[in-house]
Amino acid sequence: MQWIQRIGLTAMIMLLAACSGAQPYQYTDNREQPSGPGLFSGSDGAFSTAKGDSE
Amino acid sequence: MKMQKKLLAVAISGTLALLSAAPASAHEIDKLRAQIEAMTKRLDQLEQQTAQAEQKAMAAEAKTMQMEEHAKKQMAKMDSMAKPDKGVMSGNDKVRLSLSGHVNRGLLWADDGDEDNVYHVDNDASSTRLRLIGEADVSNDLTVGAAMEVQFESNSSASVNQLNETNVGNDNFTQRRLEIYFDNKRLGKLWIGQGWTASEGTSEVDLSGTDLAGYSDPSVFAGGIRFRDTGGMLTGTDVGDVFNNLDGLSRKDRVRYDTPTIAGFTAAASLIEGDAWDTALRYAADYSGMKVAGAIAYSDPNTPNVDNQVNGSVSVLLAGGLNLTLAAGEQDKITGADPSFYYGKVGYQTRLSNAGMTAFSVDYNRSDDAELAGDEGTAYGVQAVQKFDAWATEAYIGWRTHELNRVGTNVQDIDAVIAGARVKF
Repeated sequence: MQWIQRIGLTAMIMLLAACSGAQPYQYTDNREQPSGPGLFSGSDGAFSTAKGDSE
Repeated sequence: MKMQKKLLAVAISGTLALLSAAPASAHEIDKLRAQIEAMTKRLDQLEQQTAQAEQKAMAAEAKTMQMEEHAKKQMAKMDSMAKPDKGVMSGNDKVRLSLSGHVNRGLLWADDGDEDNVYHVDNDASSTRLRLIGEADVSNDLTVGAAMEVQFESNSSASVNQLNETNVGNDNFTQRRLEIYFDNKRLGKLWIGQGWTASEGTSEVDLSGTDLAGYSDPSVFAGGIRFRDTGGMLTGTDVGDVFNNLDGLSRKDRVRYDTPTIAGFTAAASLIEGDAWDTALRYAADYSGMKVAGAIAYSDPNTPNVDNQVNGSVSVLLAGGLNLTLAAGEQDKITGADPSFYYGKVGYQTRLSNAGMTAFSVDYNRSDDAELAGDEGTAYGVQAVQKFDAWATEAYIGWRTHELNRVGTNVQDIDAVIAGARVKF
């Protein structure tokens, strides 16, 4: 089960990294829903009935 | 001006009085009187000119105000034309309903060693889709949401092949997300319905900015293209059979729970239709400009021949634009060889023009035992994506070579190039 070891190592690195005072941010999958404005919807990136962050 | 004239008259009177007291000739007095009259006349002229100038200035000011007023009216008219009154409005400020999506079309050129062809495709890396999201802040902590997302792919890049060049895929919308969710700031997020399982996307964390043109799953670009043996005959094995990035359990009907994010970490688990389940841990943090994101997952798909699956990925983007992405996974089968893969990508992002960010990368994928025991699939490629911020558009091009080393069969390599654009509307 080399994969368990590798994933465990990755998790440990991530855990150590988390303890070093980094600022969390929201990772978004660019392929699922690209961020930024839309060609027709403008700066919001979506046609919306109200200003506000979705999801 | 009147005060000045009075002072002038007083001064003149005083001067005359002094002159009268002093011995002076009548000629000099007449000369002085003439000068005084000339000065008085000049003062009157200046007074008239000043009054005229003041009138002109007032008229000009009035005209300017009129022009400004007109300009304001025109601006308001244009603004109202650009932003018409919204046809559907909620009376509740805490309710949001949004419509978004994108169209992603391209050309795929594929060469199987004997023949090559160009396909008109919908790029399956980020298929053409439409999304409707409704949210309501029912309290300070709780948001209730509903999401409907569908895709419409004509000739998916993952499906076209030598035998099916066109009219590939469903000629209608297909489901991606049909779900409701309850997002509590303190307790986490509960999802119910068709949507991302907890492990979905855990092999595909990627900060390179080139994922439209290539990422850890080679099967999305030329997945349907079949390998041809060295004798020129098409085999029944395509790129998608050989390469599998073991990316969790995809989108399913499920109940999913996400914990609140703590120090950049978010844990998630889902119970999925068919008695399957999965769990995942995600991480995302910014180290003074250096971004790190990663995910690991464990899944039990509850299928006849698969016991479990472990996979993960991590991506680092340095402040200067250099980035590294790694992914790996293994499936534990009840019988037979265990499929596995690993993936690496090195990329660079920079701004070559005012149009937007440009991203480049090279990548390598190795997939083993995906279809048959002993299969060794190798894919390597080059990707480039150019953003056009003002158009909400990304243009991309990616090239990949796919190799299959199979016991007892010699097949030719498949080269594929995909080029296209995604427009977010």
